[in-house]
Amino acid sequence: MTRLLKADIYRVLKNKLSLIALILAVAFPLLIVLMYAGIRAISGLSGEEGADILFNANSIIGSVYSLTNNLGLVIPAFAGILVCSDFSNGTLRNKIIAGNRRVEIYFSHLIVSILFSVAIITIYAAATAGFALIFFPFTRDPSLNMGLEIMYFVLNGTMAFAFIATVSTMFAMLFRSAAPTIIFTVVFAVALMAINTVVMLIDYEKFKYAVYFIPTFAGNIFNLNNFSLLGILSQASDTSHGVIFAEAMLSYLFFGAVNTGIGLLVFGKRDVK
Amino acid sequence: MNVLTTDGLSKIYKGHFAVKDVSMHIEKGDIYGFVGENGAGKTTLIRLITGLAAPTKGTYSLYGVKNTSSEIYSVRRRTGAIVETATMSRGMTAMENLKVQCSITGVSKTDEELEELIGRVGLDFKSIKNKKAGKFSLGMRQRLGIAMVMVSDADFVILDEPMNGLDPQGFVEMRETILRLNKEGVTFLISSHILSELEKVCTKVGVISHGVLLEEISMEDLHLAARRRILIGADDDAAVEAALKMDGRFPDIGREEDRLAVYGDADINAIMRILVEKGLGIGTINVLDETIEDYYIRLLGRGRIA
Repeated sequence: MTRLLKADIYRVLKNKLSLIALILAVAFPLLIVLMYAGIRAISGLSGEEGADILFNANSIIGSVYSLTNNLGLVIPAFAGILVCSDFSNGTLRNKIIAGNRRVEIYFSHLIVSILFSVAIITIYAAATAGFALIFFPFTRDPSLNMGLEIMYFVLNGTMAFAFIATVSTMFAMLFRSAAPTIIFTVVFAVALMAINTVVMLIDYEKFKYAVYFIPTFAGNIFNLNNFSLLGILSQASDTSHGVIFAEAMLSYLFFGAVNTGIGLLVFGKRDVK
Repeated sequence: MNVLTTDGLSKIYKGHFAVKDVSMHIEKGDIYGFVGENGAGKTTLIRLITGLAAPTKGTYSLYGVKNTSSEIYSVRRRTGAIVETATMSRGMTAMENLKVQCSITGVSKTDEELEELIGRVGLDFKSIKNKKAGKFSLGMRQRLGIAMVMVSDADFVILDEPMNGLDPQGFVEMRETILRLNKEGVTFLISSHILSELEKVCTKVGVISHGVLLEEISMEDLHLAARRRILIGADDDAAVEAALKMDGRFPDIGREEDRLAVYGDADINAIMRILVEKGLGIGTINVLDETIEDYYIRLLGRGRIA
């Protein structure tokens, strides 16, 4: 599979979409931070006591891994297009004719999609943090606990995008065309976040075990971690952060494996045009 | 040695046979022409043997390895194919596409070797160096497709309608490329719906119609089957044959069904004169001046009736 990975990575690096995604990953954070700075200047609160509660780096950084914010939906869409280009160019045929197993082809696509998504969201997150810290104060005192929270936050966010990459790859293999892949991936991500929000608004603890069986659970945890970092909640729930994190990881892995299984089942049996 | 053997290969799409019980044989060094009208099942059969589609029934072997064996993946590395159109990333240059193909097939080639390969298929590397494949003409894309197929030093190449859309110059160049590579030891399976396209390159032809392989014939036998002849239906065949042989101008006499056949550029008037002089009665006499294309069309007609 190494050689397929090599070919797919080369193909993605040569694709103009990758360059566009990279530019957006740096341009979006700058735009957002400048927008916040503009609002702060217009509001006249700059320098006032309590202004930091409204305008701080924490709140900007806290939304960085949201699936429905800024690049959140752009990244899976791009990943879907990159996977689908193998179908639209017909280059998928070359791989099968050359004697590569379909399982290897699928996993190569999946890994490249995950790598692409994670790379872009990491650049986006780093750029957001960098620009936010230049223009705004970080209002929490450094501590070991906060360090752990940030680590959970980053890992959780990264896993959320890796998970969505398993969704976009599955849809790409099901539909073999970019347009429905993008639409279904976006609908999936939006639905995921909508259910998260509804469950959170009702009563998270009450519904926790009900949502265990749908792939929104991980998203819930992911959101809670955001709030935790923002300082809105001192802790996500009564359960320790480590347990929540482990549950989230298991959920991502479980549902990611389900998506991959469905995608493989369909791709393995279908004739390739 | 058989490079490809199919045994009762069938594919059903929506309850309809796209390919039915096809048993064909391609030997090492062959340039096998696979001929049939549009929709006859040529591409379906190629898709089956390249692994793009799974057979409904029957098996095939590549270099003696059955498609049901796990070893089929490794022998596929010895084959290359262009199915319908040459497939490549249009946003990449020829060199970049070849590099991707190297990775896919697991071979390592230097830039110099790839440049040489581009030259071997008739593309001028210097003029296309920075050109994206999307800007190539159809003929150039076909040639790059062949280069991509050859990247892995494939010794069995399958080309599906390679002449489609080519101008006369491209047509000639494609033919020369095929012949040159065949001389280097590459076995070919080339499909086309026009027999005359294959006539000048093929060593063997398989004719398919409505998913059924009607005939597998060597090019030599095909030329013999399609050559000009005069067919004579006489009461006393033996006497007519003896009289014509005695004349000496008709050395090539045979039988086709229940009639005598005089092959070559025989003069029908001369034959009639001899038979009249000898007092031999004839029922029918006619000239069959068939081209290979006529023979092929007659064969397809037979396929339709069947």
